[in-house]
Amino acid sequence: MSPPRTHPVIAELEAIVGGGGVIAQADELVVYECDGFTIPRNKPLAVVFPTTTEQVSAVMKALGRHKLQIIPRGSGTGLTGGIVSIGETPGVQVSTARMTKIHQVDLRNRWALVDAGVANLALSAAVASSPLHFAPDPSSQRAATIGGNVATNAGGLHTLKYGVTVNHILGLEVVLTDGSVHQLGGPAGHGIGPDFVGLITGTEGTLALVTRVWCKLVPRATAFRTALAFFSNTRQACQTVADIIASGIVPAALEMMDGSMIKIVEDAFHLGFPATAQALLLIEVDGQELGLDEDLATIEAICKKNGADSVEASRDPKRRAELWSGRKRAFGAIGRISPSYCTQDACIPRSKLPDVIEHIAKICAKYNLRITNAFHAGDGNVHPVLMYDETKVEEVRRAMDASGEILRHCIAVGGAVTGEHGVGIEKLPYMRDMFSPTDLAWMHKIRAALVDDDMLNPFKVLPRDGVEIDLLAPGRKVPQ
Amino acid sequence: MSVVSALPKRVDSPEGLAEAVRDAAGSGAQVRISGSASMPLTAFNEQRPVQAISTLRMNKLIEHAVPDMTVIVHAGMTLEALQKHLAWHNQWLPIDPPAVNGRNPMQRTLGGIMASNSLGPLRMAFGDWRMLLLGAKWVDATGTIVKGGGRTVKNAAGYHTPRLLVGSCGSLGAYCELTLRTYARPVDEQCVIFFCRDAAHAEELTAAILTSPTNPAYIEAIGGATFSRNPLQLPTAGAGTVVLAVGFLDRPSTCAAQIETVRALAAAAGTESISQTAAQAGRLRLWLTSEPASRLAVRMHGLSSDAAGCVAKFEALAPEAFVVAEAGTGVVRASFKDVDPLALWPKLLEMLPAHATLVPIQGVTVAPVGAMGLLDRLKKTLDPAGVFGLPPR
Repeated sequence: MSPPRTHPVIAELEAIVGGGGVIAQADELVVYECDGFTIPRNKPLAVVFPTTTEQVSAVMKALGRHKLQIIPRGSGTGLTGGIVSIGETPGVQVSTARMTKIHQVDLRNRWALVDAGVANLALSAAVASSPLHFAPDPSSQRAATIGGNVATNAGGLHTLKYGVTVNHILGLEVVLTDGSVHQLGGPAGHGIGPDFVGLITGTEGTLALVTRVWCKLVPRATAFRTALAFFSNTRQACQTVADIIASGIVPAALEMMDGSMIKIVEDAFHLGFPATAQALLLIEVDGQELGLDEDLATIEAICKKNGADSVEASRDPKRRAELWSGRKRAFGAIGRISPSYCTQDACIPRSKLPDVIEHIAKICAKYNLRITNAFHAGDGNVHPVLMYDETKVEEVRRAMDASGEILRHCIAVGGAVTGEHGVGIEKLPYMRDMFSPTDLAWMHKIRAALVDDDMLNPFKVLPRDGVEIDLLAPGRKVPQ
Repeated sequence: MSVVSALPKRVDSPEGLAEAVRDAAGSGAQVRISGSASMPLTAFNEQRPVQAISTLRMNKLIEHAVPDMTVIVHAGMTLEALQKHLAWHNQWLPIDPPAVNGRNPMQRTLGGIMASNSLGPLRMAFGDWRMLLLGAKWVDATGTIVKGGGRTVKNAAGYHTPRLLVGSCGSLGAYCELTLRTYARPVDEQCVIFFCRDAAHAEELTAAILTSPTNPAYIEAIGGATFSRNPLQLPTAGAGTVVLAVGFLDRPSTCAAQIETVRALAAAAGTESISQTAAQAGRLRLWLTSEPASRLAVRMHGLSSDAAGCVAKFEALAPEAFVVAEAGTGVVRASFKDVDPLALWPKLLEMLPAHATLVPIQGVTVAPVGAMGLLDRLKKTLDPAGVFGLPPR
């Protein structure tokens, strides 16, 4: 075991949270050097695990006295490098992973007060005997914390109908860098005054550290209808998406896979997908039993009207699971054909889907990269998957350059540089394509108003003049 | 309070609004943004002049992306103008904000509705502004046009600054352009009205409906005396009773089936009910947001389980009051006609249940008291000269 780092703040942190609440051994810190976006890596000085809001407040004050970067961390499932220390002086990660108490559940009024470190799925499990659940369902929901969901305004498969995290948050308890504790909103939600909960949700731990969350609970669907449609033409599939939503049906999920992803999944799992299909739509409506059969019939008719080669509609739970299995296992199947891959994330107006999917293919051909797509078509949230070999630096660079060109094209057609993953450090260079200097200056002003001495997760989300971060060496290349 | 001009300065474009704010700020005046004059009372520094700026002529529809179901409009556009345009494309913005001081709520401007975080019965089905507001442009205290958010239904890029201004009552900036999510118009609307003997009975039925296999678009609790003044030729309800109106937006057959389900729930407890089909249901919902002119109007944000009880308590204070609640979400609205606002306000505060907050809409200005936490910090940075006022608190 390597010797512990000896910065004087470590003893102070141990005094606040106890000896077992601080990690400072270099070899133990390896797992904290990156999140789910594994290209940029940099070990923090230490990781501290407070268990109460009071400890978080004391930790913030201690780190403030030492002018150290404070990097909020949930369970590390982020996808944009939001917890990587930037600059030569590593920061201290403040992890909410041991703040896991569900304080109160009010089923009548449909809310729960939880610590920020409670895992997303743990809350739904805690109320499983009731008809309610916590709706945001990012694919990392087993591990991802609710505080992390708030930080990234996490989405998931069912956001088209149920919304993203911010639509399910009634209130927050946050700690600022000066150690002050603030309650924003509460069980009754937002009344009058600026919507601070709406602002702070999605700011990726750059304005405040979230310690408690008042979560909205909503009725769990008890009935489902699922349709799987194959198309020989991507445009037909995209038109089907638009027509379904224009019909007034809001599906719980409306997922699409392109021809290459269909082939990857079929080769891996032999689900009987047609070899010539160029697009697959997986459509699900849910809720109460009433009306679902009519919705399914309408969806089936729209698919056929738009030239679907085949449509399978099902109300059988077993068949539903089978229909979903291809989509849910899609990303795992990519591992069979590529040692590494990067899942990009952008959101575009739905009407631009066909053109953007075609353009993404052209970009990847230009960079000589393999590409495949599985995404949330209903809300225009594309997830092009770029395949590369991470042992080849030149190939990694090509994947990053191609990603950049894809993101800039999505912005150019009226889209957002990220739909649900957030900006972190990965997407910093593209923020200027989406926002003017004036727009970004306003965001910087908000940060300056709430964050003392630029300490809280600096260099993330908001680009800075004269600062470029080399993702392959985030600890060395920042002008100080 | 001194006012620079009795007449508001009228602007017809975001650039015009920016210039007007710059001019006012340059002369040391504060700025009161006025759309249809339905904003809650904003607190201004009484030692400095106030320039009113009207956005009513800044009312263009910039773009309606029909297949994407998004629309970009000037903030001075009225809700009625937008709904009329969207209806041509079988779409709508699913909001039904309440009237303020007896004015037609459809004549309220979208910027004002949003800046005052106003929503009505449909909040239960369609959520709050976080679900509907995709992006915006606004004029800040320096007279600069700033943009935030985007035009897609999902967007995790940067700080969602437009959301910060929702409910801010123009204290941080003045909306000039809004990008909104639209929905397909529902095929049908039906509702059922339950006559509950008291608040406890109404709460019991509300709780039962919320756990039933139905998906109500709204559950409104109405004071018995308030309901008895309805202009829709519906039966009257006794004093102290609470009426529940439960509405559904769906296909006709699905609406009817859900109404039968909730009627069966109520019938088991011997509760009388009347069902209303499309036009009647729509008129009833509209009436529920038609709060009359009053000397004191308030909005309470509380818990669903307290809604019916507060309706009964507020109505008992002044029998001529108009008191309705969104029983599904816990928002109670009350307008009091012949009362002394300053005398009644503290009584209402005393009645507040746990977790609830009370917002004055008309009749009292609640002076800022003590530290305002994060808003004070933001005001110092974004509006250090105090060009804009402060929201009621």
